Amino acid sequence: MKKRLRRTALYIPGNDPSMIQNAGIFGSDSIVLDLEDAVSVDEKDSARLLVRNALKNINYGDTEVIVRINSLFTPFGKEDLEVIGRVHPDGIRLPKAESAQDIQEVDSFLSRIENEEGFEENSIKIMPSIESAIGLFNVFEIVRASNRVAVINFGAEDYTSDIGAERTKEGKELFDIRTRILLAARVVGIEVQDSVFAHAHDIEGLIRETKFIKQLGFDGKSVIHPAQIEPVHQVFTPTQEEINRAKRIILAIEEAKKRKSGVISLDGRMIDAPVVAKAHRILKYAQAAGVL
Amino acid sequence: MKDQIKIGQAGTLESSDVLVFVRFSPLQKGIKIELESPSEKCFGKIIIRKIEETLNLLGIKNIYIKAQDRGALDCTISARVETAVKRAQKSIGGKEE
Amino acid sequence: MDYQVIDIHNKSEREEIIKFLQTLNLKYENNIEYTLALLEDGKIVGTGSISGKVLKCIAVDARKQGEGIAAKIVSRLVQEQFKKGRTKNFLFTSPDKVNQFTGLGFQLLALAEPSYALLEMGIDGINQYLQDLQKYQLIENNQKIISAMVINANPFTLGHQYLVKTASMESDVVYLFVVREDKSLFPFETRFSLIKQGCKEFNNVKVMDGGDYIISNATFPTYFSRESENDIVTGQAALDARIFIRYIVPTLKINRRYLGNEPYCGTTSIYNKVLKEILPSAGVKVKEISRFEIEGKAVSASSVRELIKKSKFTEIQKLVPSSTYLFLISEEAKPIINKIIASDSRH
Repeated sequence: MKKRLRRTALYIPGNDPSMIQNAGIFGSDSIVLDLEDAVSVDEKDSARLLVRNALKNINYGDTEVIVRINSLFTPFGKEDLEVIGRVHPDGIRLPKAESAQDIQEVDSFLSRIENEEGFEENSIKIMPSIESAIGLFNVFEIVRASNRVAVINFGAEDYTSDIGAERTKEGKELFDIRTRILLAARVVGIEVQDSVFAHAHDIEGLIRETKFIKQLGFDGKSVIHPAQIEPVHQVFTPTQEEINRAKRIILAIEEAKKRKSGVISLDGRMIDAPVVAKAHRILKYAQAAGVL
Repeated sequence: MKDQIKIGQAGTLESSDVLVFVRFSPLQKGIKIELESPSEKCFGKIIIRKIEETLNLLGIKNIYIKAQDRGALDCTISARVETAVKRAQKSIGGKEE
Repeated sequence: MDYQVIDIHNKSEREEIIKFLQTLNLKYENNIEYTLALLEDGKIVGTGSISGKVLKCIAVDARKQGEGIAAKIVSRLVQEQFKKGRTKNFLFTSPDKVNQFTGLGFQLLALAEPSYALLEMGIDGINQYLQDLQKYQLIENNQKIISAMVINANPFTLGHQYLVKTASMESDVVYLFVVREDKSLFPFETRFSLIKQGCKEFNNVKVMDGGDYIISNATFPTYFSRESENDIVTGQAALDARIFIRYIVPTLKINRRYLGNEPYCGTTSIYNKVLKEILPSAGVKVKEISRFEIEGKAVSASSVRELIKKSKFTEIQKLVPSSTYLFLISEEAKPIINKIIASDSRH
């Protein structure tokens, strides 16, 4: 399975041809063509066909192409899946995921479509978004509900409304949901992305928040404006020290292999699997940022 | 109520989009396309062909279409035409002034 | 950016729009039925409104020009109009903004410097209208005097009939346009029918629907409002006149226009003045005919309506042709009569 970087996921309004055709040039790791919140009820049908045609005709290069469909609890969700599934997006972002059943329903849908269209089995990923108390409560079963689940996200606005918290710029009210979905993601070995920083012109605030969630262990962040991409990438770019250390770890492993030793150590410390994995990741991020 | 005039509209006047209006009418014989585009001279024929192609795929033989192009890509034109046609087909009958 | 539909009945929301328009030297006009605002970070960056078939009061924050905001607003308004079944839109703006809107796909109909420009976009526009007009052409080779007149006839009186008779006798053909807009107490269908009946005896007179392009809410909105400043009326009258000259005159080969001298109505007398100034340069002779008088008083539709209010039907009989009178006393006319008795309208 291709292990790709997901430092940034840029939301693109699904009814905006200009943004859709330019989506790939902004440099984000992923784009999320949005049929949900960005599109008014009257225009859901129009946006769906616009996104379908874009997927069929526009070459987005290496950028991961995700479509955020409407929740299956709405009249639009099923039609979205039916139409969009057939043009093979890389992933489906499922809003308001509340239970394993929600995921399984989408999974079956996608399996049927992949079968009918001759696509590789399980090639379309599911990215559930937790946006309610019940969703968070069920997060462990949600991330395990299907092999397609590759990334987990959350929606800060809807979640804080649901639990009756006050939405602030600082984001303290998100502490619990952040740590919990992070934990769930790591238990099953999938990625986790932070919710959007809605103040498009406050780059300092964005960087602060991104540094914080990176520290917590997040793999990336959703963004709403192209100007947010570069700052987030920079936060996720390893420092020279981190790169050097990672290189030395990789070297230590090669050495150990040569010596046919089962124990790998560096600077007097034992190195085990998670540390190695982290070193690989650091080098990968460094490469993506062009600093390797 | 079957042979009433049915109208549908999709798209916008924003840059890279196209505003498409369609009308099904019992008196309409064949496909009539009216195009207004800033790049009419260079791309007019191509755009019209794209519209005809989309109508063909939808099995539409009698229709009036007016398209106000603002530099839309083929895939956008085709999406907006398809949406307008489907909206017209779904409507119960156009409201004529 | 967020779209917000303004509650036009909410004073404070209206005030926001009025203030915004003022910063751009624009007025938030009367008879608006829908207003949209585009907000960024809670502040208005653009607005646009609908009045019948007309889009107007469209404005964008000076600092945000060139970001496609006008396109966004107009698109939303066009969508809203379509929901109401309106497939054609007029747009009312100032001459300096014409290029911005022709760039969006609007077609310029006429300019009346310095303040007014009228554009249109959609289905069944001016071209279709002119095509339909051409079917009415009665021209034969030996016809020299081809006249036009525009009447509202609310209702059709002996005064109107006199004007039509005069035109009919002096011309080879008379195209009589009836004001389409239903802002009068007598609805269009009724007015049209009474006119046709009252003109039966004149067989060179063709009674026609004025449509959207002659004294309509698009071409001359202040014609229908109670009070308007003189220069606004003058400007809009010029617009109506220019459309007449540019499109209707050449299509029907009109070379004369008949006007009724209007002592009672300020708007109409300004309109007549403007026509007298503008039309001759386009080869259209203007003939202003004095009002038909009975017992020393000019016969006018407003005096008939006054009498209706007072239910003085015997008096009315003296002022209108029998076809009109028979209608007024009929069952069919009762709802209209009641409306007139209850109303306060200028029209």
